[in-house]
Amino acid sequence: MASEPRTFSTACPRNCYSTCGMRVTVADGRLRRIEPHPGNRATPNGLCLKGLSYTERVASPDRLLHPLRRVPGTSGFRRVSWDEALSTIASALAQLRERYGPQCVLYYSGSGTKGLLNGVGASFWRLFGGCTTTYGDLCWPAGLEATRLTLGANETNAPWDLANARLIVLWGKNPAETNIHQMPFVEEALQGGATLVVVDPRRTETAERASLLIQPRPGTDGALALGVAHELIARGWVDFDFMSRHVHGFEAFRDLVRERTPAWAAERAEVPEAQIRRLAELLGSLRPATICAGFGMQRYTNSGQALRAILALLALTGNIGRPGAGWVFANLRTQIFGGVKDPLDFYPPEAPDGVARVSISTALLGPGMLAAHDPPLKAAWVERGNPIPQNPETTTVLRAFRALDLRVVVDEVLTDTAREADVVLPAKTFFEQADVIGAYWHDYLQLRERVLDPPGEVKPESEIYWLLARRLGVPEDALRAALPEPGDAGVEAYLTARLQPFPGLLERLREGPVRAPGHADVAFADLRFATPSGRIELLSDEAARRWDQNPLPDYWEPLESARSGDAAAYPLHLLTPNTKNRIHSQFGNLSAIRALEPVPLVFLCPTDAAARGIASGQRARVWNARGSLTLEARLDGGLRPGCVVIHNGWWLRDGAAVNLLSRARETDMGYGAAFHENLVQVEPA
Amino acid sequence: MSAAPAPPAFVHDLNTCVGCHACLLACANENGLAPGRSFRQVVTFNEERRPGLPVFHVSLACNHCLDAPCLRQCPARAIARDSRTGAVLLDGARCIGCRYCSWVCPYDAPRYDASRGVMEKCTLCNDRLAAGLAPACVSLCPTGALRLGEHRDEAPLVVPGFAATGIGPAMRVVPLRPERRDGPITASLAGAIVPPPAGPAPPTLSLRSEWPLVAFTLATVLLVSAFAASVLGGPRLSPRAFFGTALAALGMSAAHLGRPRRAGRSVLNVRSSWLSREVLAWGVFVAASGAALLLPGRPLTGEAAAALGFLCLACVDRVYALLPLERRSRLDDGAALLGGVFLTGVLAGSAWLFLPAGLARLAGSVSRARARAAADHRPWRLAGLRILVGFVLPAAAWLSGGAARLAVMGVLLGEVLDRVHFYAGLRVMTPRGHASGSPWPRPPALRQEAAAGPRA
Repeated sequence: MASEPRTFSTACPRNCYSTCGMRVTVADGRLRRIEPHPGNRATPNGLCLKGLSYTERVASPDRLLHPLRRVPGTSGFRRVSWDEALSTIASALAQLRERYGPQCVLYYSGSGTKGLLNGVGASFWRLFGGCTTTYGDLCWPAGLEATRLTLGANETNAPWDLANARLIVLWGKNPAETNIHQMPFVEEALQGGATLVVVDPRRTETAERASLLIQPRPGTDGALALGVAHELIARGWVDFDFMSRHVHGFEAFRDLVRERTPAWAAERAEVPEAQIRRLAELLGSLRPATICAGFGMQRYTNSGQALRAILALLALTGNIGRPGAGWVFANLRTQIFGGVKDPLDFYPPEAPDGVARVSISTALLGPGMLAAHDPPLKAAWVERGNPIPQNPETTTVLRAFRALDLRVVVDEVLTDTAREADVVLPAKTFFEQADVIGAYWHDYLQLRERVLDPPGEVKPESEIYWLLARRLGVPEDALRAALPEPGDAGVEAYLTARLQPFPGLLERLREGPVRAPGHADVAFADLRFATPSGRIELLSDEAARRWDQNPLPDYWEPLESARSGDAAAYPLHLLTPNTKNRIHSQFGNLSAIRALEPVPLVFLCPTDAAARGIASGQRARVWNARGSLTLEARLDGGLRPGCVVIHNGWWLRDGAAVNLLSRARETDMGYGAAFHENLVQVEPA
Repeated sequence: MSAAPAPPAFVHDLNTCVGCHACLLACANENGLAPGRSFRQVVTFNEERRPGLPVFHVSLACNHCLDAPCLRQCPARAIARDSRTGAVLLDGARCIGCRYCSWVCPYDAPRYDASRGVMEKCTLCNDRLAAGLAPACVSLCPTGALRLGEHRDEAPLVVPGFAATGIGPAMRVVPLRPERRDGPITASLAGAIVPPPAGPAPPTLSLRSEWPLVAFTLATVLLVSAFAASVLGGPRLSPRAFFGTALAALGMSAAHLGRPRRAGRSVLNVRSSWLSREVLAWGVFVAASGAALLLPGRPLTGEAAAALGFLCLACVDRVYALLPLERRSRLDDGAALLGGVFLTGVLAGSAWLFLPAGLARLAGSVSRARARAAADHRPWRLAGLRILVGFVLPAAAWLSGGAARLAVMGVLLGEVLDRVHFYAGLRVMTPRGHASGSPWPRPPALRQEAAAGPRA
């Protein structure tokens, strides 16, 4: 019998700037309609294509609906009962704990789904007695740390405030594809006469709207920024009043950039000197100015310093703490429950608690797993992540996983990582369990209502942990104290307890998105900065002390570049940007997405293609000493010569996992992954 | 139908659209379409990012044209205008799956759903509209690039790079801001190597998909010619061969339908559809000429029945002439009729028929081959073979005064090759085809004045 359609509020929990508020309509147990939640002012117009594709995703034939167990000695799986799956895992874990201690288990959780309930994973492993975990992050640490060192906190003006800017610089960011809800605010500013500058080696969709597109050699953003800073100071286009009151280290910085002329920068970034002077002129003459820095350019070995140099441009011109001005990198104001409130939370604890061994850098996952000892790693539990294709040096990560005795992967579909597992457990989608999520572009907290029943035998992770803890003999009272009881009531009680410090918040969240405590449309409006000097720090002693870096944001050539790496053998720089069609390795399996991007492609600059005799549509081999991919080639007349593009997020199974080519390295600060330093050669296949 | 209001128009802003494809999925969700299908398409211009030209996107569905060729030409009367909203609606329960609406639509709007054997297309979210809501694609556009406005006759749709159709599409584009029209200056401009255009868009019609229709057309030409020639004193036509061929032709054309059991609906729109007229004329001709073969002189004279046959061939030509081709050869528009007269003349040994008709066919083949060779660099091989087999061989046979059978075979085979050649390089006008078209013209709608009116 047909049931009446019902409408629910939820929010998209993917690792994406927009974190859209959603209203969804369900009828007959199926998701029928997905619309924007009008209560989220940052995302009022409509979901992106991925958000709309959830109708397919929740009911996709690719979804895992019951536990799988590997058929020994083969690459195949067989369906097993929860009983068999859990008893297999419990007895193997108990044996390994007995023999090696609990820290022989790696608990690896990715960023695939945001939510407060994600915390139950860590709670479980404490009940287990401990585990090994990772520190740092693949995504954004260098930028977070650069921002923390400079401004004292990762806060930004509200998304809609961008419309007040007279100058917008999208530095390494392509919101048209990765943060589409920022585009209406960009457009509003442009309609009001603002000027847009894009810095990107690619001519992106966003760059179509720019009046200046600067295409630097990858990894030279810091040099570019220092050249602009030199010009600003040399021309006197500096807000000396702001500087004297709110900026620490101007004199030292001025001395540094005296030699960093536009000609010096142009020589390194390989862009016309006139473009550097033009950007300085725009920054010097148009106020307020906002710089939005992307994540991709801070995955280099020099990128923390590069972002500090870019931040300096805002300090020099007094573009902090005002409407339409500022720095848009990440807004962590919704991180009110700990976790990622501050980049410091990503770092290994100064005083380890002896339970969780936080010893493996995410950026170095493969080598780190292989090197772990006392105890060595014997098992891994992976959830919300697909580390084999997504972490640097896929080949090493794969080797590290294959060296283990037990691999458990919890996921919605059979990812490349799940394919390596001994036991695969089916994960819920975010429609199938209530939760509360934050964001990192806007500052809304949002409640995800439970919208659908989990299909098949799917169980939420919190319930999987509950059942597993029971099998491992965890006492009932300890279990109840640490984990939510299975069912809606347990989840409700857990969320209520976690939100206790914010009276009335859960009730308000039921009515719609709620801006986080302490929210403000203009960040740093009081011009107080939580830095050691209380000012914006161009000179940071902590940069020297903690990271062994120049306290000034100087530039040096990245470790692997056309000038410092093995450029004779591998003369091309591989860029691996995200596209609008996926969030990292998610969504690519869906028919709606495949219809738009059926096969992986490698994009070449026409000059580089011609030099190699590669035509559009031909197959080309992209390789370096770490790996090789053979893909269909396309010419991109907007790409900077010397650059090659393969989109991030294809799987090993698609033959296009880009991290087969990347190297496990850390960024200069923040324990980020510098896997965008990636030289390759290309030849006709 | 006259009471139906003009539909509201889609207004698409080239400045704010970022080509995100959300409208495709909004449409799919609203209409419960299978994943990967949509009534909408997004066409990207300058996808290869040539320096000095902008990259932009146009989101297109059905334009619910005031003078909709799909509605006019649907033989089964499956397409009608909604009296409340003015939307042009396709009723899948009436559709026979002949796909002719997709032939005549210059916007590539009706799509064939192979799973159901019928066409489907945008409904303008008619029920939402009637309830005061905007279509799903409009209400869910993340950048607000797609809006709903009034239909304005004075500002017809000019899809950039796309010829004006004069059929009153309910869609307008907001042209690019002047500062966007040259595209950004890029680093590879210095390299000065501009990538060649992407290959032409895949053909929407091909011999592979349309061969039953080709066979039907050729069989009809043969039936008409053989019958007419027999009336004119040529070789006698055996009723068995006539009915056998007619039955085979009928079977093939029915098999081509998505819903063969609804084939009877194909004559419901004689008032405005050339396809209905063709089917009806074919039926009447076969009945009349068949009857004349069996019972000479009844009910019609042989001459009258033959005239019906040529009328049917004229209808065939009209059906093909409505295909919105990028380049059309006038002489192609009479291919079936001229071919029929040519073959009749050869069969009947009547030079006053086959000489003028044959020369007109020859001129048609040569001009089409020349046009395609110039535009697409298509080799002359196929056209040369067609001329050799279809004209040179019969002419030689005729001039040497014998081997009439060889001349007939040559002409017939020549007509087959001619159809193959027609399909082989067919460039049907589609928005996608224009976006990747070559040679690359500066899209006219980039100029303000062009956006205000149809291309001259």
